[in-house]
Amino acid sequence: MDGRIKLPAEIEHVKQFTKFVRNFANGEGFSRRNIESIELVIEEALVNICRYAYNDIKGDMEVACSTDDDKQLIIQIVDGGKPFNILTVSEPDLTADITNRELGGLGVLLIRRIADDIKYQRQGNKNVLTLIMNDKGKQQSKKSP
Amino acid sequence: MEINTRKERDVTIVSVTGRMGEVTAPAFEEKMRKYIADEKIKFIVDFKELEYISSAGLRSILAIAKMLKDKNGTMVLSSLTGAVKEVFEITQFVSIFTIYDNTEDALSEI
Repeated sequence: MDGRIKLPAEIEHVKQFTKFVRNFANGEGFSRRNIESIELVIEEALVNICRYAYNDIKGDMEVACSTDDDKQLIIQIVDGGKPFNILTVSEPDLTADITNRELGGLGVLLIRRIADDIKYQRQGNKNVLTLIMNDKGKQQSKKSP
Repeated sequence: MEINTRKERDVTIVSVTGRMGEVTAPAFEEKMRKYIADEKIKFIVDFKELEYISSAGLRSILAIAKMLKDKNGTMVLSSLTGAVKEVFEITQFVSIFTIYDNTEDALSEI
């Protein structure tokens, strides 16, 4: 089973994507707790696209869901904006106090910690981000960096 | 997202229900800014009924905390559960905020 959704890269559409992925994961039997985590990484990735990928130009974002033989959920997120490799962005300093804590960078951090595997490719003029989520043992193993 | 507020002594208890994401977090931030503008500087933010928080929610909370620090105010948090607690742990917000198990404990300490 697989499915995909493509809409303009605007914040007002993010909810439709998370709903789509939630329904897909639900149909594949993922637990509620895992679906919450999946929704979070989707929101974070798509909001980044809406805010930063296209500057002032209009563009689309696309999400495709599938599962593999190991029952892992594979979420592929594609946009045609400027190159952005989530894997090479530096993380905020988590030891800083309130005064010195940066407001940015938390979304990327959450995606990196919560997704079980992440792949990034620049294909032509597109960013292709693949997030892999599995449905077992994740909560225990992802608590600390 | 729904925000309910009550007052105990000089403490404003702000209870947030539902989801605090990209679309809803600004409403929380705006409400808190109004309270602060209204000279309220002691807060317990109760997350007992908060089901979901994204980085947008965290940013709002941090922005308010920075603001309160400049005014010698206090904001403690209470009753983090499930996915919300996990997000606070991943981002180490647990180490920059004082977090109580419930609002009663927070009230007796603040």
